[in-house]
Amino acid sequence: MKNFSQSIFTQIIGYLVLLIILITIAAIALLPYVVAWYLRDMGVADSQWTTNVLLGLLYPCGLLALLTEWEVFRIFRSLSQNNPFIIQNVKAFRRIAIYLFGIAVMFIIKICLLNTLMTMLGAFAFIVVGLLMLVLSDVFHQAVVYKEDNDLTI
Amino acid sequence: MSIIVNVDVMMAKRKMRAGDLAEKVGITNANLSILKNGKAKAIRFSTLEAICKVLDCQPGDILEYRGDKNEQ
Repeated sequence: MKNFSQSIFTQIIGYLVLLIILITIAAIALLPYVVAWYLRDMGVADSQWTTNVLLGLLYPCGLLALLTEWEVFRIFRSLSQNNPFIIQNVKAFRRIAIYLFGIAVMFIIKICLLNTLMTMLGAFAFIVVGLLMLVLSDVFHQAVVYKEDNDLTI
Repeated sequence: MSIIVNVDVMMAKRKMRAGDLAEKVGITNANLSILKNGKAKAIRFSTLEAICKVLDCQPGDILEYRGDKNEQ
């Protein structure tokens, strides 16, 4: 079997995940400036309430996104070691689903406070992807059982 | 499990070491150890055939069924 870690494509994905983690950290650090710039662009720069709502919702979203990306990185690392079918990854997918549902909750709160069409679509998308992660977690669990059977077949 | 693996008994009869058997059968020492300790979930016919060939015995000499009353 070809070593998965040797693929250039795999290495590119690895660097991409790390880059996205760095971008997320930068976005969280610069969030007050980004929100101020966004609101100025929208023409509602003087609204302290809007700023507070956006910051209050986006900080938890950012942290949950960072946790999700970290789990993705860990899953990816196990994949590059040719050993993805482990129970830790099953749990990681379940945690990712919880984080995504957390982000969806933030979006739903935003629908109540500052609704836009994209917020509604975002909430829906995070719920769907969260459910997908739960399904993937079950699929991985099945794969772990099959792998164990295969490993213990002499 | 009610299936007992008696590879070590046959190895002793043939005066063969685990490393030699593993090498001749074409499996790793770790897998032979799993087999001997009864941790294996299944054995391939090809592996069984190779073990029988190397140890010059029948499958029945290696595998034994022993009913267990306490088994669930």
